[in-house]
Amino acid sequence: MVHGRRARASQDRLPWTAAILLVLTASVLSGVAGSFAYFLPAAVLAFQATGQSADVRSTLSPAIGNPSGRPSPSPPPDPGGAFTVLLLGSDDDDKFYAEHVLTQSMILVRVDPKAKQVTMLSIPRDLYVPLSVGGSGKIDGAYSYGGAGAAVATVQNNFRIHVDEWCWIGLKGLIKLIDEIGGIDLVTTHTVLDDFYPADVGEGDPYGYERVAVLPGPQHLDGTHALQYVRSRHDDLRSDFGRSERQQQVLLALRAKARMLGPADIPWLAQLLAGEVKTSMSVSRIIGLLPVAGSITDPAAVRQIVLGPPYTHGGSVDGQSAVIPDWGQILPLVHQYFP
Amino acid sequence: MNGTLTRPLFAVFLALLVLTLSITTYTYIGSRSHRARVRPAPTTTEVQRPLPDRPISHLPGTLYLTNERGSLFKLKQGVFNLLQSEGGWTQPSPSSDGKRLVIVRRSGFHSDLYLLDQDGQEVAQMLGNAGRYIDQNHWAFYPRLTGDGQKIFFSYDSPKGGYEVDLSIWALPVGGSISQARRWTDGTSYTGGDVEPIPLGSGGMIYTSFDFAPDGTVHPQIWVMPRPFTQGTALTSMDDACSQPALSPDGTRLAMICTGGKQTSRLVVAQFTGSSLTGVQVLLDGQLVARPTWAPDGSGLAFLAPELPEGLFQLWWLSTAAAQTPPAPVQLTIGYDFDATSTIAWIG
Repeated sequence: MVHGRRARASQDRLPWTAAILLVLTASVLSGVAGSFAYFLPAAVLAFQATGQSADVRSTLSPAIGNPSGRPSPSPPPDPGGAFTVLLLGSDDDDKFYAEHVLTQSMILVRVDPKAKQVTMLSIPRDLYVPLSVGGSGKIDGAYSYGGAGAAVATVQNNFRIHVDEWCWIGLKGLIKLIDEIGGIDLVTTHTVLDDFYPADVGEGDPYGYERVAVLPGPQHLDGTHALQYVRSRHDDLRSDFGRSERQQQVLLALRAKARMLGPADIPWLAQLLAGEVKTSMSVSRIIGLLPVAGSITDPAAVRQIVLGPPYTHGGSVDGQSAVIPDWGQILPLVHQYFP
Repeated sequence: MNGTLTRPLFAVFLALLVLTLSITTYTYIGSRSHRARVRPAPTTTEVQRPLPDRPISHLPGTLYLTNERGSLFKLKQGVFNLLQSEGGWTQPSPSSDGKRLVIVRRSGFHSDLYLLDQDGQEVAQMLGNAGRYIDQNHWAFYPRLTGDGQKIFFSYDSPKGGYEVDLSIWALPVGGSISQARRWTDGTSYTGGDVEPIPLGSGGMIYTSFDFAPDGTVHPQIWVMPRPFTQGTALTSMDDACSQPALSPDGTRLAMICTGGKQTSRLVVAQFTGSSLTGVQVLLDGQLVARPTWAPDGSGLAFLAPELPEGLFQLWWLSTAAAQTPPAPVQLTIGYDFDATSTIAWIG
């Protein structure tokens, strides 16, 4: 009996070496479980919004653009190599069907991580071009007719460049993003006054108007006021060109804030922007780009281009005002910075 | 017992370890996010103490500042007091005797001018700009009382029509109506117009005008104008893109910020002769400096700039006494969200 009790007692005990091994294993697994719990819910949302494919029907040769019908995302470019992103911004209020919005803002961004250079080229929303979906029209309609794929293909076809990635954001997404990162600091270059600013972001009449006044100088802007600054164009003699410059200023201010972001921010960002952001970039690529944003600290390393005169001129097509491109002037400029 | 543990005890220990480490990992990752590190702006009623090791209590006189939610604060002997809470208050400016403040109260689609006493209590509404229809509203900004206290210079969006809304400088007799106000400038169309008037003892004014550069971009430029609708003299070049002029109490030095069209600002001081600037000196460069304001004794400048390395605009101090060596700015507050589009009123 005594021998039996000893045997049971011995079976109930664990050697120290086994215990230490179990503690170490449990510690590692606990860390993984904690991380998994943190990232999983938002990762689902993030993967829904990122890595999106779009049917890019480009007429460019494969050497320049995507071959016809090849879906994006394109094969990942050389990690650390230069790449081109097409940023698309849309009104996404109740005036429009969710999948048929105009792109009020189209900005081509060339990022060269090795040279630590960024070039931003704003495409006028009223630029009159052949559309990839057929016919000609203002370039802001491409997304409306055929989604991101049509927008990318239209840009590729007309500007004769290759777009590696695209990213679309709605107005409400921009407001949320800026608010949640604590606002942005920038120098508003002049007073922006508008008696006919669209009152379509809140709950009210999407066709209504409101008055806005964004005062000049260095300041901290929340999402709503940053949107007013980049969106207003009525009291700007250069209309969309002036607005494009302001959009680039806000992008740079956002980039400065992106320096503060890290992988731990991806889940809440994904939850916050669910439905307001779509991109061809994968989550891992976005995480990989965060340090790139931080590495480009010299303001002189950011080149800003707006396609005003002499690259374009105002005109009228079928009774509609439009911006007419001078491709002889535009293409050499574009190919200089978007090889 | 030597070299062994009981299995049930170890199982309990292991379960607790797994639970604790999982929660700790989850919490730790969350704490590393930017959002967790963003300092929330203080509530308006939460009047914070200034930094204890900073010389804020040594600032002479009384300062009036507003925050981004339209609250008015008074800073005296190192202590902030909330005078008006979240009412759209912005751009306070003192009378020459320091007993009154003229200030903007901004509502949804318009802004009005008010006169407050030194404790922030309303004395009178000087100008009401609410309209029945949306385009009948008006903006009034940057009010400044003349030295004799008889007039208020300010920016006003009239005339306007259709899409064109630009500010011009107007002078309003204190106690008068807008129909008695006189327009001094005609802001350049589609630039936002003219702002930041400073009435001079000579009867003229210094102000900031926005105009188109040859490349089509809009830049600010500081001008001095002797009388209404006269040609005036540019004190700064368009390329320097200077604005936010602040005249020293003795009227001999002008502080300003200049951006050169970039996304940073320089704090610049120059001698003001009455019609030109000489001895231009850059005191700070490469930051987001805003709203330089002279101390009543002229010994230095208060200004607003973001808390480093990022954050909301705080109050800073820069001594100008040691003019030969570049002075070091001192951050005086943390945790506030001062409105960098608002002037600072500083009385002796």
